[in-house]
Amino acid sequence: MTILKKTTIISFAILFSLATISCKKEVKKEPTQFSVEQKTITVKWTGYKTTDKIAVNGQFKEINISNSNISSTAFEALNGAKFSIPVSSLFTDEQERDSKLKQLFFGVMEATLSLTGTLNLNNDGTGNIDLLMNGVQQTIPVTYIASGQLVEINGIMNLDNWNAQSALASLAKACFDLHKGPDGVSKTWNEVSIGAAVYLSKK
Amino acid sequence: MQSLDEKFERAFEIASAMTQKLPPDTMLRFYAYYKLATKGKAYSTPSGESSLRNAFKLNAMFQLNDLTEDEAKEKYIELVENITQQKIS
Repeated sequence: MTILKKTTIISFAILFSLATISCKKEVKKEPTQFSVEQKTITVKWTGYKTTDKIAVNGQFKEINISNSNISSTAFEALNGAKFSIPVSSLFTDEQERDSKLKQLFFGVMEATLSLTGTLNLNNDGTGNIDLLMNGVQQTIPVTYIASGQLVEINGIMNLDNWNAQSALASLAKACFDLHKGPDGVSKTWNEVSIGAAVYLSKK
Repeated sequence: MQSLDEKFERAFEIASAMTQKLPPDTMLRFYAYYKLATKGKAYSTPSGESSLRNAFKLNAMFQLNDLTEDEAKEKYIELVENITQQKIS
């Protein structure tokens, strides 16, 4: 076999290989997509009573979400989500307390059948909740941790920012003895801790 | 033909013996169906150490508000059947 023949055979072999490779369908792995599963959204809150700042914990049974996204990152799936939480879905482990909070706290606020707002998250673990309550729109600064499909958001709100002093006074009056500590002082704090968590769907 | 309660008991035995790792949302469904099936709608905050886990558990129970106790048993049985690919009859 001459050198020319050998070169021709090798060239054909290379061309054939290239043709085979180029005809293969490229299989691209789709990136993970996160979306919000409404049923997994959990909103808990902690209010405080007595000088010793005893925690009172509660949750909401119903959280309605709209405007969430499908995204390759967990925080983008939630960023911009709008929420509406009926005050009637408030839950603590005591029915009497639930009634007081619904009637004597939220019930004396201006047009507050639901807590509504928007969740705004940055990509650095910070963000805010734009919350409408008592006819006042204010923001709660939050931090969040996204770990796989789980996102936890935490923030502290000062009720004074929503002009809730009268509502707080109404609750404090109804719970005067219950909010009294060993020092004999009855105190209802204007600080409320908010914790939200969601287990995102993954595709 | 087994009664619903017998099938539910059998499903619970199978679920209790499972060794595979299940996603958290599936575990929460197991928890909520079981609680509703056996305790009804007497909601209370679970007493676990993790407040986040307690909150998720309570929320999973809230989501079943429309189900009866028998429906919760049926859903629990279905969940076990789907995971094990095994019919409980």
